[in-house]
Amino acid sequence: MIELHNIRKCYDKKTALAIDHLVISPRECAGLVGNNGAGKTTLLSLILDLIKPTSGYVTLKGAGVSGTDDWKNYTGSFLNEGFLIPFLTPMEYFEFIAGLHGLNMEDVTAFLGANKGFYNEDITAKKYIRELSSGNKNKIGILASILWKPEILLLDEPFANLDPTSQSWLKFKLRELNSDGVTMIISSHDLNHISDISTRVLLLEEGSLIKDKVTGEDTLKELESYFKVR
Amino acid sequence: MTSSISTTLKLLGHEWKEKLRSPFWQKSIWVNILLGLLNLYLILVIGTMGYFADDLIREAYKDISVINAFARILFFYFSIELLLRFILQKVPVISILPYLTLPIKKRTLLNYPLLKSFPSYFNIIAILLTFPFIFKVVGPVSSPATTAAWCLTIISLVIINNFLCFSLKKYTVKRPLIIMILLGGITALFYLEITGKAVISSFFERAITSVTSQPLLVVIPVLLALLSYLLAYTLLRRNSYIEEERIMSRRRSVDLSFLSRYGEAGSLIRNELRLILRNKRPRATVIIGLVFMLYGFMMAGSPLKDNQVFTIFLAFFLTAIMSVNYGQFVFMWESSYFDAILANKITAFGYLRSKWILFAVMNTINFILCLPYGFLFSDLWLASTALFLYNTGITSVIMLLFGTLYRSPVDIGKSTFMNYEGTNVFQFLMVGALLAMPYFILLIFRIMGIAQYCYYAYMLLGIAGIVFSDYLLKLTARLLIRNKYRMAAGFRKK
Repeated sequence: MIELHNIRKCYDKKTALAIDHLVISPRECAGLVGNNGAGKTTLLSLILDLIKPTSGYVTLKGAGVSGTDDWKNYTGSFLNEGFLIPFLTPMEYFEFIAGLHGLNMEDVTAFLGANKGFYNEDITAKKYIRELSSGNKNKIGILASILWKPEILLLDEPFANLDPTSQSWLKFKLRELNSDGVTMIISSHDLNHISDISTRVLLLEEGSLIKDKVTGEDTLKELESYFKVR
Repeated sequence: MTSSISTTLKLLGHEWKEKLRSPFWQKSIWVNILLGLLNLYLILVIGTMGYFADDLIREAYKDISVINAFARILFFYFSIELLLRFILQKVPVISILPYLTLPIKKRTLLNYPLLKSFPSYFNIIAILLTFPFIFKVVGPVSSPATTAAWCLTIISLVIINNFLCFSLKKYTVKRPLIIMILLGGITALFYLEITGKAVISSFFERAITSVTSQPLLVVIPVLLALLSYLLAYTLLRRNSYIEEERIMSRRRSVDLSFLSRYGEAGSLIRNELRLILRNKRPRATVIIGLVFMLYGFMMAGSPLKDNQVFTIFLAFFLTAIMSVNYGQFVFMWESSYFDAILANKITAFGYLRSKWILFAVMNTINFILCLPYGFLFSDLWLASTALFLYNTGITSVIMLLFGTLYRSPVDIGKSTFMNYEGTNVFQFLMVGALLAMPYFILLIFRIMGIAQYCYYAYMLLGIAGIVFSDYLLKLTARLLIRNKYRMAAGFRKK
């Protein structure tokens, strides 16, 4: 589903990411962990063709992402605030994104009705996105990325800034989406969440993939010992 | 706690660093040099105007002494200036949020933005216009004390206007009615003045001449200036809590839902119209494009009127000013969410097409508005029809091509006046190049001796551009896809 071939991304000779070969199969949920600067966002940005690899290429469903648009039909994503349009109200933003996928306002309302647990009235109020808190912005981005039922989902630190209730809701939702067949890569600093939702854990350190394991009972312990202060 | 002067200096240092370290200043040295020269030129022009003001005043007011006439003019000057300041002057703000919890006296923090408002264009212009006059005309015939009184009075008036504008702006954020009252008040004063019912300017003149004849009275304007400062300070102090910083903008909800029926281009255009309606800088840019339409009236009496070179310029200007003014920042307007454009289901072609349609709509509005000028200028109907087609088919596409080269982000929430953020040497070149092309065609037609037919060439080119727009936009899309990484990387540097 997602394949990286000989990917290198360098900034002024400093390697930000170097992965020889990585394949994420359909229905996998890859949890991406690593300290700041390990290359998590770089990895996701490369898959979304937001930055150009220094060498190598990424394919989604076997087709290269670089310079093409087809993958956008089935790839949902939310990396940061730069994905939100600040002067729209959340509803207008949802409508905009839905419209791009041929859905209308009724579909948006139905989707929001089915996911009531994740947002409060701030999101339906007539406020512009730029006036909302980081947590609410984060929720809007996540909701917009899944509202049109993508086949691939890429989220960068979706749990950041969320209140505890929303965190558990999101965990539940991601597991549900995954069992419905969505392939995903989720990055997070919360080791508990990652070991809860992912079927496979990818650990990055200074741009290299140093651990790639199917999630098991001892995953959390392993991760905790890696991230221990030494 | 450190002393307030050293703190103020440190704050100035931070401000300086903010300016210096913004990607715009670091990158475009040439733009900065150009803008520096432009400012120098303006200063020279205004200073010269001030120096020769006495000749103009003698012409206009033959029955009273030149100094009295000058005092009378000051009244008009400062009342119009207040209005202009109100519309154009930025309320100086530093984001005081990071400093509020630090051990800095609140007084220092509040005084800082007030002090910072002094080197504004308005203050500099007022001084440049009046001081040369004082030294040239008043100085030689009066005592040093009187000259000093004049200078102090003018400085006080400048300060009063400066802080009054500041207070009015702070105050009217909550009460838009004040704007109406202010406008009404100034209009009423002018009405009374012109109809001769109450000649306020002569009261003003008497007030100023009595101050300058008894220099000790200068304490009155100085005290008034102090008062205006205290007013501004008090208002600022009352508004210095974080909750107050977030002023809820009025939500404009124009019904654009009909656009959503037109698929990708429809949604994108709808989004862009909202961008224009809801954000200060793009909105002002479009409005300025409309205001510039008045340029035609200014040129109606010009001897250039029937000159073909001028007619082409006028027709080009009148049918493209809005789209060129807005379009020089095409993709930069969306710099804060350019990643959303890239990662979502938007094709490069569809994206460009929506922008092209928007330019075409802007040109059409310009074209319709410029038609009445046909009564004032010969050949303008033919010329504007030709250049309307040309601008839509050719100029708009070229603007999109150039747009893929720009990489500086633009903050759409800031005001337009004297704001050169995102301005680039290329933009000056682009506007020049856009305008040069019709002239190149004219040149060829002149050489062939058939200059009067060049309008038909514009029409043909324009129609060809419109008919083959899909093809041209697809070519542009290839360029956009190639340049998007560099554009996006630049836009992310806020």
